[in-house]
Amino acid sequence: MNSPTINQSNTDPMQKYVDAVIGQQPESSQSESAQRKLLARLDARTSEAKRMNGGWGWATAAAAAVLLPMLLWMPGTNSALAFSDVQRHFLAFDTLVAQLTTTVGGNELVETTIRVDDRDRTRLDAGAGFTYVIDPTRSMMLQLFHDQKRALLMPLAGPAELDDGVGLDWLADIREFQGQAELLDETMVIRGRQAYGFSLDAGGMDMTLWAAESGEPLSLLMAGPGGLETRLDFEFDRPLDDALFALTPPADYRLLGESATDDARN
Amino acid sequence: MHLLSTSHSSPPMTGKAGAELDVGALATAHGRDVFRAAFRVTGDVAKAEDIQQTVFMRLLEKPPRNAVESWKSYLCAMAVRAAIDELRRARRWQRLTGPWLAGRASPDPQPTAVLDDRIRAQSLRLALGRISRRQAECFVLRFFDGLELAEIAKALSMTPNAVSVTLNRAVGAIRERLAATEYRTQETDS
Repeated sequence: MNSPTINQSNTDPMQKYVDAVIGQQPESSQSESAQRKLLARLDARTSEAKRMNGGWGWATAAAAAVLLPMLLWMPGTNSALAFSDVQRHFLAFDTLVAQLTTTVGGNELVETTIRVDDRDRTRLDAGAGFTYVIDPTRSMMLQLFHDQKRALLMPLAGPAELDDGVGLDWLADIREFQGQAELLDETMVIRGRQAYGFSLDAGGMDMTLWAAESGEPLSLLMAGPGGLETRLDFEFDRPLDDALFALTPPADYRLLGESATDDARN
Repeated sequence: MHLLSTSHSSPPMTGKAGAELDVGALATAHGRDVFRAAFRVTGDVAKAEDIQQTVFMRLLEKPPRNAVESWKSYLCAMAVRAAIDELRRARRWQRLTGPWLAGRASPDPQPTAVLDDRIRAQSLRLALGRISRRQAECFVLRFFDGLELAEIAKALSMTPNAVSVTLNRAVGAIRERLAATEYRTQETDS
């Protein structure tokens, strides 16, 4: 394999790590076995789809072909709303509160509240169990374990920590999104407001972002594998108490140092 | 030649409409590449199989809206993304279970005398799970799969400039995370 090298140099220490990964190849029998399973699964899926579509599927498709252009001309369709109007809300806000709900097969796994201020200080409350407070301006993160009433204050290794395990992938995805955002034909009502949907394909991850006519984002839906669904409901510029982002643990919490963490680990 | 290049596009198939898309033919042509791309990131055959199937099932359910220039790049980028999500899920689980449980569930590799390739590969995969997803995608597509910046930009819906910046940050972040491991090894060796 002829992959690019780090810094065009094979002497870069990191190159050894890259070479180690590239050097690990699956056995050809494993690759062939995976291929057979894939084709069998696709075959079964295609057969099932053909069986399902054998009835009135053609009629539905024909009706859609006729009705869709008419629907697009219906008064009230907001073709003027541009995705950039929605996106800019994520780039410049005073505060953002996102209520994140994750479900699998309709069963709620965990509800999380994420609060972000204009300095990107972030507080994440995962159910009643955990809280993370991340302060990039001070390069520190506070973790609170409520059941144990313990706290852990640690330095951030770098900006990546903000995106690492604290549920902010979606914010980076939307802020950096450069691809095609397709305005959906259907609308819905969210918290009493008429909402317009944008379908985003961010490198294979499908997201639907619902926004008010003003461009204010209201909700984001993400579908993952295995029936995993994540929904975020947004509220912008709600006044937030500065104490929410404090790096000081509550008085009755025990602050774990490095040695205490090691003790607990052993 | 790079592993993934635009020369592997499949002209008869466009990504525009699901009805035109022959997913079976795409799976026959590129299934093995998708499997290998997922394996490189996860290092796990079972996970790579799951990701391979997820990629093509997803294609059946939601074909891309725009024409695809290189199916091989497109599909492998999907696989890489899913594989990185897998690494990050493992990492996130460690975070949520607390540092003491994380240490038991999946310890960082602790090199002894020699940092062999197996441990190096594992260290790099752990590092990839700890940097931002977008940085990890850029790194994998560039250095594992050999895509050009413009190809990565297309696959990830970014500008080439943004890819370049993200890639630089990714290299820096990974270098930082690997440095400690390398340092410990050198100390042990000496």
